[in-house]
Amino acid sequence: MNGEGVLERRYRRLLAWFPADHRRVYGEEMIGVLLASAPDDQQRPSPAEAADLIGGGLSARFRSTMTRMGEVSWRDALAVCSTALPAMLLGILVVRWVREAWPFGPEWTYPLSDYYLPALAVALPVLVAFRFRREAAGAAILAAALFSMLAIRSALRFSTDGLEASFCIALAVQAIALTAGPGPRRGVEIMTWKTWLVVAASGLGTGAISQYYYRALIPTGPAVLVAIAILAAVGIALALTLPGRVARGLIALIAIPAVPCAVFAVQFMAAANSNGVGSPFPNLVFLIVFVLVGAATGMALRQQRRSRPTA
Amino acid sequence: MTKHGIQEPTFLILTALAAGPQHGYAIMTDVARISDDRVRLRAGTLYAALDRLRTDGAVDIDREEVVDGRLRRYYRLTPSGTELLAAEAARLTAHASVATARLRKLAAGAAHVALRRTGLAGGTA
Repeated sequence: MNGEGVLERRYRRLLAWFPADHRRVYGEEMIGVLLASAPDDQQRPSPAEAADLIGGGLSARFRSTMTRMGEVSWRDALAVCSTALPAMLLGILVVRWVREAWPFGPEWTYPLSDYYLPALAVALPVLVAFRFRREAAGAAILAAALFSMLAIRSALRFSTDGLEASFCIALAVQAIALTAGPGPRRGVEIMTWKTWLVVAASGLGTGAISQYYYRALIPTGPAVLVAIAILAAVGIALALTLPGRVARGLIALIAIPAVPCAVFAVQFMAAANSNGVGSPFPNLVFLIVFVLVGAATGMALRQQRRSRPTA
Repeated sequence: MTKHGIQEPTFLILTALAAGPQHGYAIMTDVARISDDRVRLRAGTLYAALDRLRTDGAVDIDREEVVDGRLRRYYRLTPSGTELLAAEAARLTAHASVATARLRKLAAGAAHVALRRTGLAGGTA
């Protein structure tokens, strides 16, 4: 392969940073311009060229994502979220309850036993929400705030983890979904039996993974990989069982609580070979939760003021 | 876009296209010439900007040709792009004229103070 061929191949590799749509329209033209601007003896892209192509590619990807997110039906996504999220959380807790009631096997200490209160606070409002949505949203906000405080107290005493923070944020997202969206009744209308199947499977799957995770029955690395695979499968399955405009929004909403868990898992893996798990990250997460709870409260108050009949 | 102004590379791309339809490489060299080599666009930045401008309807494809087996696409300003460039040029001109007027005033004030000091110094001597 001659010098230009090698350089062209390297430029093409860098163009992979751009979204496929962009490459299809401008790819060949960009290669022509890059080769025309390169000196005759150039063998590889300069660091400045590489940085420019990577930066341009990321910016194009961001713009393309934003355009697609702009087409999302957020009302429907919030409606499905207000139904699906607590169902997933309930799935996680069902696995925990079953495992705890299992008469065989060693005794284990649950670092997250405080879950039961918020679990009920999530499950009950959803049932109630079919009739009393505003009250259900209020209960979810209260549960998120209460659980944030419990979690902060526990974080100050012991080391805490990403799952605790994720659960906390999930409550806040649930509060926002109940407050800002049209409610679970609309969510049930949109969801098909396949969506319910995905939601149930993902809740139970995440619950099972979290059991292994806490007991280190399998090494952390594979556990994290399995969890990532489950999350990816959930995303794909949701995209297949819901209209695209709803699925994209729902995946974004469900991804918010998954972030602390993912970051913690990466930190755990990084620290596993050194001196343990201690990290200030989860403590910072609770600040985010407080902001989310504050936003949810603000929206609830605004909605209440709007729905109040004017004198 | 006009409310908050446009970024300098975008302004220079539109300025380059105001001379007539040009292909990507010609736009890059023209932008360098217009800015006295201060702004050197690279392919990633250029095509991200061209894509954005096409989406906004400021720029469109004029024609395509194949040279030495490579695709060459010419871009041109649309009427909306011409308006955008004119509005931005007017905005920059207005800012520049305010800055020039104030600098003149500042220079005149400084000259006046210097003159007074010279006069005072002359009086005491």
